[in-house]
Amino acid sequence: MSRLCTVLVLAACLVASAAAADFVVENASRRINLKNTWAKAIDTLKAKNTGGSDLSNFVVCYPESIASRIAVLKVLIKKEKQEVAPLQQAPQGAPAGVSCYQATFKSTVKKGATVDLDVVATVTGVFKPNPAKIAQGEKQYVEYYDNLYLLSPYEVTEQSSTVLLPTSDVRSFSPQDGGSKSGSKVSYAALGKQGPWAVQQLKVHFHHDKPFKRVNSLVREIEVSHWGNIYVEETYEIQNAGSQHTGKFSRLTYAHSPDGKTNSFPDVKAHLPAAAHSLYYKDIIGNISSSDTTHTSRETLIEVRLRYPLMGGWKTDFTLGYSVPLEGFLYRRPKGKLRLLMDLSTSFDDVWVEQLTTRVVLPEGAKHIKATLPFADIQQSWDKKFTYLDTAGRPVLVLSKSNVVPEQNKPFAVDYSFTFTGMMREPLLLISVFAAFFAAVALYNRLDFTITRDEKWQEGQAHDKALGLIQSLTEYWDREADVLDRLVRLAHSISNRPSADAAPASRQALEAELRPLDEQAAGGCVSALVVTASRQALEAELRPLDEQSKALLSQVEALSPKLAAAARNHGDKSKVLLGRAAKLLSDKSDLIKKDVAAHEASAKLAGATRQLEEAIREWVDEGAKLAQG
Amino acid sequence: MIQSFIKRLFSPKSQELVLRLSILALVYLYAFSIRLFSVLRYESVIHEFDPYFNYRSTIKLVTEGFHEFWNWFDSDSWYPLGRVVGGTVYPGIMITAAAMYKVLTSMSAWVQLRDVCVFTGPFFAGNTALIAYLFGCELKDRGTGLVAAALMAVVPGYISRSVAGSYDNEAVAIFALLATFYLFVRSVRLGTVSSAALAAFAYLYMAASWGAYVFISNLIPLYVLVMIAIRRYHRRLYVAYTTFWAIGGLLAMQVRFIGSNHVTSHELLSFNVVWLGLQAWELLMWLKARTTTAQFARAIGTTIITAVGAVVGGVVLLTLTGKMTPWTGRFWTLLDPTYAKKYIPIIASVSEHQPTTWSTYVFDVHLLVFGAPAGLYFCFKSLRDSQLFLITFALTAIYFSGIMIRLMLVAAPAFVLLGAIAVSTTLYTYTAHLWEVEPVEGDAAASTAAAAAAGPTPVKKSKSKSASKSGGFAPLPYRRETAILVCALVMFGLVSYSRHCNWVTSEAYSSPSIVLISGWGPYRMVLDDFREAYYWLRHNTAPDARIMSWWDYGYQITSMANRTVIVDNNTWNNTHIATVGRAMSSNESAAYEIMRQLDVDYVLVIFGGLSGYSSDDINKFLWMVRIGGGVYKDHVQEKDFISESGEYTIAEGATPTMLDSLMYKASFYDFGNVMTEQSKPTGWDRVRQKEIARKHYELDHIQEAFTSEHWIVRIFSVKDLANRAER
Repeated sequence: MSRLCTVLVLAACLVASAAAADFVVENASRRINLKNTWAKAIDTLKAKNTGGSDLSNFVVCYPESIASRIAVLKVLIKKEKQEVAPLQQAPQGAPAGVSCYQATFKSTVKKGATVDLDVVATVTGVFKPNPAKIAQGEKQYVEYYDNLYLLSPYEVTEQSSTVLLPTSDVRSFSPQDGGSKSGSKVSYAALGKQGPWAVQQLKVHFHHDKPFKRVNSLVREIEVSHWGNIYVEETYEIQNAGSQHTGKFSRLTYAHSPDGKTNSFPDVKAHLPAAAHSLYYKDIIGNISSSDTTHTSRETLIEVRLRYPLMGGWKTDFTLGYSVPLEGFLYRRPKGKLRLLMDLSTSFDDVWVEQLTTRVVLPEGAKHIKATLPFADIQQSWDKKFTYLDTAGRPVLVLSKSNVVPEQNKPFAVDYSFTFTGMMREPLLLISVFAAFFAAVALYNRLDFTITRDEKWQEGQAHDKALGLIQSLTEYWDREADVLDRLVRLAHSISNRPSADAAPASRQALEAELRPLDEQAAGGCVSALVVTASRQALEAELRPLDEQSKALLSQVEALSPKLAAAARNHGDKSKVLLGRAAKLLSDKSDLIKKDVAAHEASAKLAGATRQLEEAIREWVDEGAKLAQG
Repeated sequence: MIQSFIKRLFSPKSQELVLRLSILALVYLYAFSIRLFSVLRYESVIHEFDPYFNYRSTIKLVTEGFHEFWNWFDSDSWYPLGRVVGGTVYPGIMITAAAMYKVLTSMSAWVQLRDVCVFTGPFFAGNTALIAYLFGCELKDRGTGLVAAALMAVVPGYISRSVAGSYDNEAVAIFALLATFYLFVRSVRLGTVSSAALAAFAYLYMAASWGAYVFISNLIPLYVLVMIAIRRYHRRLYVAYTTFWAIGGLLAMQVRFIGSNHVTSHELLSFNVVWLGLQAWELLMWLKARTTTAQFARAIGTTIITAVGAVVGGVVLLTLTGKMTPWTGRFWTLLDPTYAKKYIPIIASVSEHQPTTWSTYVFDVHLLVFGAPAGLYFCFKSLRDSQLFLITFALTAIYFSGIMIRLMLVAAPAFVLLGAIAVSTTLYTYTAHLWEVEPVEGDAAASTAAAAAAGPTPVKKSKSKSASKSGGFAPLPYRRETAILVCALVMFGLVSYSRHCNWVTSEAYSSPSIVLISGWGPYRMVLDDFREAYYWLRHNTAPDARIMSWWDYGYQITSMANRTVIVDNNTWNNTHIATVGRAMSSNESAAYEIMRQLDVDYVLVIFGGLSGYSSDDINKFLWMVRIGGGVYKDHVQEKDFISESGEYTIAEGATPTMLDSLMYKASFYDFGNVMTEQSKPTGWDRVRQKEIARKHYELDHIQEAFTSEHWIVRIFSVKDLANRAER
């Protein structure tokens, strides 16, 4: 490819040198605009084909000092852009230090016809501060050098040059002859007829009132996640490229004096997409606490205040990051292809970028990646990036370009293909890792790493198993405890009926107390008969459980006689307790039947009741202890 | 199958397990998240001073590898001396963070080293809570363990050094300290070599992390002595101690900063001598078993006298010949609180080395101030070996915490463990009564109805009567009510403890102190002056520029500005610091001489007069004078800076020496033209609330190079020598 280029260029050179004399520029009007922090030279030419054939090539030239700093060079015919390519070698007869470009017209210029051309060059970093160092509050003067005449291989019949300056404060301009200054303009009206390669240095020394915001390097990383987000992170190194600050920096003067801030800037403004969210602004030592964002329907305006104001020559760096949704930036294309459409460069105002690197990080598994770029001089290379859960790494397309001005912040497209399975790769990986982990733990718990299987070990195994069985026994015990509890409460509840007759006030309170009790007992009027019936019902409940527990006990017996004995003992105790509860119940019923006053009955049985309750509690505790081994 | 599984799932044992694990998980989360105030309110950033050094070292460790870090000679600090960082650093926290970073990145996590460092503190706080749980289990039971974990998670005394961003040694060291203690106590119970070896490894981690490892290696011998004194000495203790001594000692010596100090320093004398003593004791016991009583009695006297004499003589001889190093100043300060004030002003000048006030205790441990004595009581009541250890630990730690605020950190775990024992014992005792069924409910209800007018006395009577009737030991009346009351009180205490911890963390311990925020909502003011100035230095001065500032800012400058400093927070060379102190307190020409000698390019001072930031250099200035005067007695004298009325002032009446000093001239340069408050004259210092005495002056040998937005950081460049006078 590159070899082909060289061949083409060489061929072009031959053509150019041959064609050098074929045009005559009848009228050239140069306007050099220096109002901004970079220069823009617009040459409006009227060229006539005086050669013997139709022509489609036109050569434009600049002094080397300017050519090396050209960011954009456009040749327009009726506002239509023509193709421009640099010439490797200057045409014959050119003086030293001249670089030329060749424009190729879309339609040829007929023999003897004229064509109107606009040649527009945007040139950065061509202002030379003089004096190079100034103190705080002093004015910044810069020099600009160019060729006074149109630097051209063609003869120029008539020409004029105008330099537009930001202020009317001009220290000097040369040549003085033919030039005149009015306001912020220096113009050379009639420069007359000049042969090819007319050279005379133009120099303007003037006051430039804008700070020169130069981004020394910018690395943009655009990371696409198909889960719905595009992350953009931009890392800047920015410098004030104007006259160097020298002497002291007085904060007092800076803050309070009107010209303390001249030739410095405290912030830069960026225009981010309207959908931008999750903004952050930081540098390597943490957040920068001062910034301001405004959201409008068209854009998100962010005012990035630097950590400190940049005086001449000072620099700083920072990182600005934000996210945008996929909508509006990622498009579906036929055949399952995708197209990512993003801006190439920074959206900051008034800055130019010396070295731009844009990294496009595509999802892992993206294939058939192809970029469509707005400029020919962008270099492409490839890299890999590993972030969360990446196994093979994400493909990174690295685009680099130097000397970029804001007008070059054009969209570029990256086409690639990416499948749904690729998208599910990471969640599946995560799921499988966790599943493997749980499986490993489950397996580990089921394996036995004991080296010796002696009696002690076997005993332990049996004990563990027996404990498991006893765990099931506890259910039965819980039911028994519940029954015991209800029996005791039943005994309590009987006492209340006669007292209800005695004290109507307390009866109501007690009835309320009775309500939540067992249905059998809460019938309102509690008779001894009902008590017996409910007791029998309760005991009947236990019978089938009793059978089960016996079966369980015999299993425990086989494993651990000691535990089984304890459990059986525990069960026997419950029988005794049940008996005692039943006796309490019947005692109380008897007393009530004999019309003994309730409180007296309670008082008589209080001791027995308390003892029974204590015994039940102890029994429950014992059960709990048994269950825990 | 499924049924049995479900049955198992709902058995008390598994339920207890689930409950316990979920409590622990919640405690862990709580410990982690309570420390995130600073990140949420400010940002994920390293705090204060020392953490910046740790952060810088971690960067070195991660980017250049362990070997480079171990042999690191840092020429960016202590110009022109430099500092052997590898040999003067406790690398524990750096290695921990670097390891976590490597593990995370190897698992393809896209994390920044700074974030790993910022979250090291909270992460280790969770781990410490878990260790507190294990220690609690070892001390008493699981209940105590859970309470201990919960209390430990939020105890403000520890939070102060482990919030997110507080990337300091203490954050991991408290974990290591508790782990060592727990494992040692465990090994005393088990009496196995393996358990003691485990404790020794925890000790290595502690020794690699923090200078307070000396506390462990003195506390454990003390514990052994206490055990012997109260006749609890047993073979398990012997095994545990001797193993710990041998392995722990060898491991600790691998840390370059400690090295052979572990044997030769007096600070570790007790550690080694107790080991010797134990061997002698065992030898005697061995002899005793093989001799008759008479023979033994004859032998013992002479043996003991010769042995003690040999040890004492040996130590004295070695010390005098310089083979052993005597106690350092910091150690003396612990035994004699007034020592530092008298002899080492540089130690006394640090705020965290001041004696603790009572309010600090309430502030830092709150409820546990009252819980600890109760805990001590319960420990004494059921004196297990582990509880005896806790008593020894707590008493010494609480004593030391009274001497230096900083050691509150060591006392906090002791308070927590004692408090946990108190709380859990109380709860155990009273919750048992909570579910008691009142036996005489119906009775009581009847009597209340009958004797509504008679008041509660008769009811009480009838109750006690019935109790006495049933015979036996009568339980106290109102047991359930009392239980409810006590439990409610404990609950209230715990809730207010937790609220207090939240409050303290959010208000007092979550400020990164490099960025200051005042006000809320629209009135919020961010003072980010430190980073503004440091970043200016980083980008706009020569890469080898040397900055002179007071030592407090040394670490921050080397880390954030990446420039060489004359002195920093390591404070290893008192003379060098005194030289800087002397330069700051001399007049401009004398200071210029010193600065020329030290190749100083920039002078950096912190000035709060405009913003009202009170910990500025003018307020620290008297310490610079004292430290400078401590070495250069003829040149700097404190009395020259004290006005006739006996006060230290910059206002009317300030001494000429004060007004001529470099510090005054740098701090207040141009300040005389500034109106700081309405209806006050220009040059009104908002920190001192005074009008400065000397206003309009120019500087001869230095010039203002940068001043941050709110004037907090002022940087002056040192001018070159003037050219020869023009003819």
